[in-house]
Amino acid sequence: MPNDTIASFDELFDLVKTEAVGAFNDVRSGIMDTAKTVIIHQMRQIATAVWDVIDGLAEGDYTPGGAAQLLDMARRAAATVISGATELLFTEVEAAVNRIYDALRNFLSGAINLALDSVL
Amino acid sequence: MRTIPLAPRFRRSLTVAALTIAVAACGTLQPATPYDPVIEETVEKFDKAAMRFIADMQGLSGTPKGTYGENVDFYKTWKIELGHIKNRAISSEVGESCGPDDDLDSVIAGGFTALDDALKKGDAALVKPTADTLRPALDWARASLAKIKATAAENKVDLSGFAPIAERHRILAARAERWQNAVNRIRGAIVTARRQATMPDSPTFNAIEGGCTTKMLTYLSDQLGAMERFHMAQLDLGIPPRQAVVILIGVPVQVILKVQERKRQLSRRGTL
Repeated sequence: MPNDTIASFDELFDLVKTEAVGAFNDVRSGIMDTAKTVIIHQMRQIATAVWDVIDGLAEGDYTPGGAAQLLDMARRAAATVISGATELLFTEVEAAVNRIYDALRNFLSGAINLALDSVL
Repeated sequence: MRTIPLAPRFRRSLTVAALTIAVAACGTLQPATPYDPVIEETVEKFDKAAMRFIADMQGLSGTPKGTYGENVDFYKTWKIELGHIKNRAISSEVGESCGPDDDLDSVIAGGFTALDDALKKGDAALVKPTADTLRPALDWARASLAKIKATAAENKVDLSGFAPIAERHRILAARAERWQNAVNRIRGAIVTARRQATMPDSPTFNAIEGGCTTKMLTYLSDQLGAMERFHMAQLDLGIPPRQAVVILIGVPVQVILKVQERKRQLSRRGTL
């Protein structure tokens, strides 16, 4: 990064804009990945499990009490999927914000010398 | 009020200084809990142990060795391990919530209303063949058999050679009974599930307060408790060789490992 040469608002804006667009694209692809691999895949698995509970009851493989516990587990599994997807989103956003923050910090560490030169 | 005119370069210097202070004051934003290798390693070990335990129990299903009473040690060991990583997550948690809890509740409530509707439809579908189809067929078979018996008695005909008719009647009766038992079992489970969901001191699912990592690890720990209650409630049947319990332990494990894997990647890149 050309820290020592950036000194105007436009240059600063360009730098932040480039980092922000890159970070946004990363967040967007991260969110798509989250939606595809976590929510859809896991919810399909939970639906399969619920169907198995109904089928197993009809076959006599599960007792009514056992099936009730499995339905309770299905509910908790769904809550875990939502919490996990939310945590992944927080993680992607945090990574994007840190990337922009680092770009700004790197710019400032170079620009501060120029600024001090002008007043001292 | 008098204003002091400032040179453009000096103004720029002030702007840069103000930005520096603002950025320094922000520090690194930390809404997500940091990557924790201990959580990842413990959950991976639990995954292997649980899958092995379930496979062993499925092999022993229906035998005394497969009952809950004979296999308490597994639950005891892993309750301690999962309780430890849950406490670890709580102590390192930086978020106070995991998105609006109202949203989570509405998603879960919506999902379970749909499940309830599906079960009602399933219940109705199971009742239908018994009431609408099977019973008239049974009545017809019974009436036919009675008619044949009466005709045979009138004409003094030996019916011992007509065993297939009696056999068909017996098969139909047994099928009707199986249908009815299946319907009763499903109804029983729905009633139990509904009762547990509405009981104030129910030991079943409760939404957890706290950040996302705390929630996920608490749910995993609670999931093991629910599996233990499932094993107990299965009585002599034990854990049958079916999919549900494998999936319902596997889902939270996979979600937690997915989150930890992503955090590990971002940590190594230096963006988390």
